[in-house]
Amino acid sequence: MPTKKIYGWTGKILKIDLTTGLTSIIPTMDYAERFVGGRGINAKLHFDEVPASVGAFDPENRLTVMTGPLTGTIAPTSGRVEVGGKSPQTYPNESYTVSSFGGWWGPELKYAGFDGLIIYGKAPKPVYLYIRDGKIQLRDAAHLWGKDIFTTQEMLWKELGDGRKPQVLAIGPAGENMIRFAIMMHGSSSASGQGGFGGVCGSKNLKAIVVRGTGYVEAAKPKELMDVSYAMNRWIYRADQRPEQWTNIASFHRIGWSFFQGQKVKGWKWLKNYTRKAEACHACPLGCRVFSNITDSQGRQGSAKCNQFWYEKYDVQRHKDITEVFYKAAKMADAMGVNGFELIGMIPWLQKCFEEKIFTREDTGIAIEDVGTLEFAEKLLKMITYKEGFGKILSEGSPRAADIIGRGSQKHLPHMNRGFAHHWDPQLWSPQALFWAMETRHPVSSIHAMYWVFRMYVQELWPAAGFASSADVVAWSRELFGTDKAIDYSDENFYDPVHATVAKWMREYDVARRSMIVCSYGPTPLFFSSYSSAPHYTIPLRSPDLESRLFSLVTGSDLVPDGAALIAAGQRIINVERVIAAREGRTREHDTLADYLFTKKKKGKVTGPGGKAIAVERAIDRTKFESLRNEYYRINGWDAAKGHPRRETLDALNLKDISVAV
Amino acid sequence: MNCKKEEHCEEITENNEEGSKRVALMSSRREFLRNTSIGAFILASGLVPVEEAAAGKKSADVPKAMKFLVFDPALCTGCGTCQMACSTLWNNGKASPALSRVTVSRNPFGTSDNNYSPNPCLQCVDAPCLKACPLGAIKVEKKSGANARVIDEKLCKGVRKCIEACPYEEKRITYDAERNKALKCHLCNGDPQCVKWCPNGALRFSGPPDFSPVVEYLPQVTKKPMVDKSFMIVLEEERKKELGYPREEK
Ligand code: SF4
Ligand code: SF4
Ligand code: SF4
Repeated sequence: MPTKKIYGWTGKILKIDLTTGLTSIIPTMDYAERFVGGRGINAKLHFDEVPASVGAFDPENRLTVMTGPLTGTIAPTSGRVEVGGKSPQTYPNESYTVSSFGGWWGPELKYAGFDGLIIYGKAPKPVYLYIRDGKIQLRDAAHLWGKDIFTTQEMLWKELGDGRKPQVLAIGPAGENMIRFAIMMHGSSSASGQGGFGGVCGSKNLKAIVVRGTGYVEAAKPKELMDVSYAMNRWIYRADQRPEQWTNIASFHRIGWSFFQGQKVKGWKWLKNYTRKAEACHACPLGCRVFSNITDSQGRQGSAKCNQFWYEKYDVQRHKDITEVFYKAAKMADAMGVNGFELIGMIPWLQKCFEEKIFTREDTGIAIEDVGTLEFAEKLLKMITYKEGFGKILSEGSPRAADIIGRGSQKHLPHMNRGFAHHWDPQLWSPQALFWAMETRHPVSSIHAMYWVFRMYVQELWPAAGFASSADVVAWSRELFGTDKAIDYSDENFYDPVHATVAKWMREYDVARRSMIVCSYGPTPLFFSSYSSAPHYTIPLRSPDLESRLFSLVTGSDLVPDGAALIAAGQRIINVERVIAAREGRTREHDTLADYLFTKKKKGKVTGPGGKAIAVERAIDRTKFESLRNEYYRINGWDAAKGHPRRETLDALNLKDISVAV
Repeated sequence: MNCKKEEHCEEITENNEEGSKRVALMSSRREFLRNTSIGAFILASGLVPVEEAAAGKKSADVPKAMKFLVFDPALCTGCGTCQMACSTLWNNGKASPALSRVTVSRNPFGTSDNNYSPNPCLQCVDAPCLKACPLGAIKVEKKSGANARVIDEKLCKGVRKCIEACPYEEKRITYDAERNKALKCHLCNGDPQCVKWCPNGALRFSGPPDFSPVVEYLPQVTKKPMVDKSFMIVLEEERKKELGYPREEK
């Protein structure tokens, strides 16, 4: 049989054993037909290669880094990369999870000849992996070890640049020292943050992965692909009808974040004083990262997304206004390779523990009353990164630190599930509660699949960016779920079984997109608004058909012919991830939420009956929530006792090879 | 000048499958917007003669370019859509910065607004690339009025003297190893596609006398005209003066 020409893919996944330096190639197409790419292929690779008993920092752990079929083409928002592996950050046990990052690294990997990497073993001494147009080298990283992430990138650009910079994915000292929430980062702020994969790299003595390629990614139907991309870009323009003072396309994100912080005025001030332009990943029309005009201590400027705000609250409290401190602290964490999202949970937890006198300044060496100063942030970051004194305990992440300390400190943790600090509002939107209960980590991408658009709508932030009217919202609910109730989050309807269906659909949609890969945060949710009467170009731009269309035009295959097939692919991938979790011992008792979500009320605005914005205030009812979760198991075809996929379910999803192994 | 039209059309289409059916691009942007349906961006209309202004001639014989790609780095996000559009369109669906006639410089730690910026070909007055080609493969496209310096693919044998000659560190000519051809910006026969695809309006196609932006959608969205002054044109100082750029603010 003549080999069929592959479009979109390079066809090769590089497998590399750092212990011996041996490499081999796995054909991408062995995996791509059922698992699409990115997050999907990572799950199957992990299932095939890593037994449940392997720990996150064991050499046998695999770091899988995958692009998708769309990566490196003109398809809008196709710049992201998916990372998978046993995570040191997940709690209570180290378990398989996923993380992703944007920028320009993924496309460059494909131009260099590979769709993805499987990295295992442990190098005898610090190395970095250099891939250049199909050539693979493990090079000595002694001179880079100990250097921060930004310096590392600059050194490697200098060392390896050939007129164009190579793209570098690196870890900082936090990763080298294997703290449990260390990041891998590329560029100024494209990070694989949650999951702690920076520490996994550190455990393997892998300082950086450098890629440079002059190859290409070929699309099967370039003209149609370009037309669809063009129309999508124009649609984003429509969405971005911005007031005059907002200088560029990232503006509505800026404003969204500012509101998120509950700091409307401060947000404006930040926007005006501290930002200058937007930065975008490969082929992204949106550009959600904002370039700051604040110069850091090493003379660099850079971009940042919402992770720059973990210290903002304290900065504002301390200085009665937003100052440069929040940003400098954030960049310090980035440089060292510490995940700011964990600090969002850790600092309030520390404050509470100090308040309750669970530990003191003498115990910890932390002067909690200094919070908000740059010195406090620097000291805390250093003690964590270098595991100095109390920092050694904190480097385990707050949930494990609380277990070590005991004395009732656990109950003050603002961590919602799996050891990840709070984010968004499960008390307001019931599918979010299911995401938090079911995901292998902090479920930010499932949430972003729709909720930032809903929130913009209910807070009347930006009608043009998403749903313009209640009729639009209802149309969305009706067309996708055949009922008006899918957008009704009033108290009466909060536990309606339809929300289990919505949660299932959104998770599947999300993982399918993360397999293509198109950005979950990016503009795709906007394309749901074309369910309404909003005008669009002659090309129908409706999610989720839109994503499957991009896939077909790039690959020329009919594997994912429409939105329904896209969702089905997502379902298959979620089941593989669930089987991995089951194998690691996860059962229904882990599919829950932190206690405080069942007692502490949250106020906010949601969509109510008829798509109208309503105000609510509530905590989650445990019993009703559990029956909603049971409904989620049931519609997934998972057993009621443990929430594990049934054999028939797996078989029906074309996962016979997995059901046999279960 | 006296070229056979059909032939030259093929030449400018480069490695475009549609090439045999000739060039190219929509003449009217409005029409383009209306027709964003499949295949609409290739319009088989407009024959494009290529001026025989080859190597060896004195520079005075080579007509100066009259239209340019200009850019505003403050608007550029570094997304690279321009290079994706150029390479996908002109290389049969192969997306690659290495095959694009416009590249993007990125410095994610840069302290000025041009830390991200496109590097368009400047269509130099005294084009070193044109003069350097021993085969006379670089010619001037006159029909569109832009006078772009374009590579005649039939004559190009991949000698790459042009690339050496391009005076910029980020070379504006690239090389397609598979086909052994040099690739350079031909301004898409007067309708630059990178300009259309740039999602931020950071690239414009502009020229004397008024350097007014050709792209219409941005002012429509922002409801105010873009400030022409902020757009950069990298040209010889003398040429700038000659063209009256930048315009004085009123
Ligand atoms: S390719 Fe280089 S030398 Fe030739 S016209 Fe363009 S900028 Fe000038
Ligand atoms: S004008 Fe045309 S040929 Fe020149 S860089 Fe832009 S898309 Fe490429
Ligand atoms: S498409 Fe526009 S914003 Fe993106 S890199 Fe090119 S010039 Fe910059």
